[in-house]
Amino acid sequence: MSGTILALAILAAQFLLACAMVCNLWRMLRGPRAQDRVLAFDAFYVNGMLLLVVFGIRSGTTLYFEAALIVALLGFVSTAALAKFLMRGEVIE
Amino acid sequence: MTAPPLWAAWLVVALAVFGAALAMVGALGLLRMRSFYDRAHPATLAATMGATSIVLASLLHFSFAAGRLLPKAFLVAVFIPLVSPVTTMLLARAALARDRSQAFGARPPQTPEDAEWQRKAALLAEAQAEAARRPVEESS
Repeated sequence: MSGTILALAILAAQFLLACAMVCNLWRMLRGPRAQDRVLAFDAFYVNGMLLLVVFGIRSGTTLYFEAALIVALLGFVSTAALAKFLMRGEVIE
Repeated sequence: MTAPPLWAAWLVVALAVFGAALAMVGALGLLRMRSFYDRAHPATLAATMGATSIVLASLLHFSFAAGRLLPKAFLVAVFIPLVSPVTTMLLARAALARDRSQAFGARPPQTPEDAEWQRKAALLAEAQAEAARRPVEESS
């Protein structure tokens, strides 16, 4: 009983997160300007990380937490670097 | 691995679906909003409440399955809402600097949004020049 509920709900959550990622991808491709793309990329990696966590619930291993943490760290650093690049034209001055 | 009780499963389900729905709402807002500064708001939905509730659902699921509290998931739950405002602030400041430098005629407009910014900046500069030319007479 609880397994069925869980499986269905995880499937629904995965579907919603995948739709959210498609929306973010559309905004990333459309633009219209560079800061919109970076903002969409920021939301995109957060949604991808959440998809990993939900996949971890589904598959039943806690290994995906480390993967999610690495995605979050790399995404934060890359968004900060992109914002710095947009502001100054250089990442490291 | 024992099966979690039914109320725990319902809690996990509710949190996971709520977080995913919030991420979806944020993504729709990212599509629907008109300017960059409007879009910065819905983009934070998934990063704060969505991430917190989904990671909490995962934490509850694995803690009930293992029979003890797993502190590992707290790392993600703390890290993402903590750094999301930092990146949004950085990005908004970068966008503001770009808008300012582009609005004052540094280069030709590339989008209708650009042209609108340049028109507003020209109006503002004109009004400021007008105010500077006018003699101060009303102060008695």
